Amino acid sequence: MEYSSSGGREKLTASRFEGLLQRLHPDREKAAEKYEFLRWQLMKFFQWNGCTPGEELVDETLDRVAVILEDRGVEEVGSFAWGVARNIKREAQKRALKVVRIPDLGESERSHIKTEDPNTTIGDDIERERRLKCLHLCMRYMSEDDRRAFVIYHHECDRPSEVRKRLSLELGISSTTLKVRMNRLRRKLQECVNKCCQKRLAR
Amino acid sequence: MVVKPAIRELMRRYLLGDVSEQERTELEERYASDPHVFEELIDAENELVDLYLRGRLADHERARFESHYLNTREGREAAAFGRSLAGYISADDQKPLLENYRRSRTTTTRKLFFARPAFGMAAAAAIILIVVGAWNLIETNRNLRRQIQELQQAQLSLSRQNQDLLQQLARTKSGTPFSDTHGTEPNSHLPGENASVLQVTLLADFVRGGAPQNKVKIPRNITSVSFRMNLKAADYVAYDARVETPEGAQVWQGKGLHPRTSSGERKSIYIDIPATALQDGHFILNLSGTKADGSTQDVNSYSFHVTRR
Repeated sequence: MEYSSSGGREKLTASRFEGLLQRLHPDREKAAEKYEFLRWQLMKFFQWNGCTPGEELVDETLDRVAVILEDRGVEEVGSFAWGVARNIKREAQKRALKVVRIPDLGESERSHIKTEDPNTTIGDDIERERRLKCLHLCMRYMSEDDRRAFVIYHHECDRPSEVRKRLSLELGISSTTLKVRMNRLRRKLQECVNKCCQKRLAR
Repeated sequence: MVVKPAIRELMRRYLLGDVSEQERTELEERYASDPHVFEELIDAENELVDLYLRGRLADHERARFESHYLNTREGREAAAFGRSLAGYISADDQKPLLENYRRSRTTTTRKLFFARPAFGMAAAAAIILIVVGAWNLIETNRNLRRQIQELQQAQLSLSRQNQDLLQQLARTKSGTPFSDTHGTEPNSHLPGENASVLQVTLLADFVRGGAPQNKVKIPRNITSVSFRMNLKAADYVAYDARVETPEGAQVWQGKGLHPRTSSGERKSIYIDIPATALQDGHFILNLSGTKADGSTQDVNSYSFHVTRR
């Protein structure tokens, strides 16, 4: 089941956004970090609950929080934002029940398993080629060390946990730190690839 | 953060939409409040996508992945990205890097020592600690062995001294006036190399004029002989003692002697006679008592034979 967001809502003004950042942390840099992390968490929350498009629902959540913060004293902004997100999720699920969804992608694009699919369209191949090129491009933005670690971490092998343990030893960090670092690199890389693809598609 | 397999399994089911409402709510509350749980969930998601793309999910999981996870645009984008990533890593471009890594795995330990100073220093410090600890143990052990040897020597020395003393005691016993059959008490002073007083308990004569049953052997180093005469009853206020030869020549005399309690309730008279006064031969000690009215009476006589050695 896929859920969609509602339309008309109060837009986030610059002053409201500033107010939200201020409430997250007095230091602007740390506030921006907190904002980014909260946004990522909320994106995933909506995705894992099948609510889409997640980006719009996150915007809606943060807009509502910013508006409320103007009028009301909220003790912990993070927890409050999660409460608002849960309400928006319920609203999106209710709305989705009233909508008959037309699948936006064909069956061939849904399955990503490495099997020969006779129904693969030329468009799919072009899209995959575009993604791979963008990936090569985005990998160049990584440092040499990060790229090496990223490839070793993700390569297919019989004992990935052993490889990762050795890698963390070699880098002088804990396995948990290595895991978090690699997952964040993966997220940035995916964002980079998505942006790159959108740009190329727009040409 | 170490995540229990059960939590990891719950995360996987959550991502596949295969959890109860309660499980969903609980997990969401946890990752909303704990960034570590959220990071773990991200890791579980990446792992799930990679396993799906490698065709390593069980049938029912693969079915759920396609019906639930790929049902959102974000899920499909993640899967598309994962597929590109797998293509990138398995491409020929990356083979030299992975080959190098596989080769370097055998020398990782060496690298850790030489390429990472902190690790090397920590390892060196650990080795030094082990060596110092082992050295201390060896030294302690050596000291303990030395102490044991010293104690054994001291014990041996004491044992020898004890034997010497026993021998001296035996020698002294053979020099006492009474043999065991006389039921004499042991001498309170053991005449060793430096001893100067010989203590002797005399038994009263049963038959006046008979052969002396008290034999006194006086070693050369003895300067004084302390005689003890046990009394049946202390009926007198004072006692006089007189030592003389059988011919009646006085050797020594003591007056106004008072009995002392020796063992238990027993009263005894003690007299000290210079050893020089007692040469080889027979002697008779006469003990007399003075009553309260001033009259005197013979109490006992003690004859003894002296042998100088």
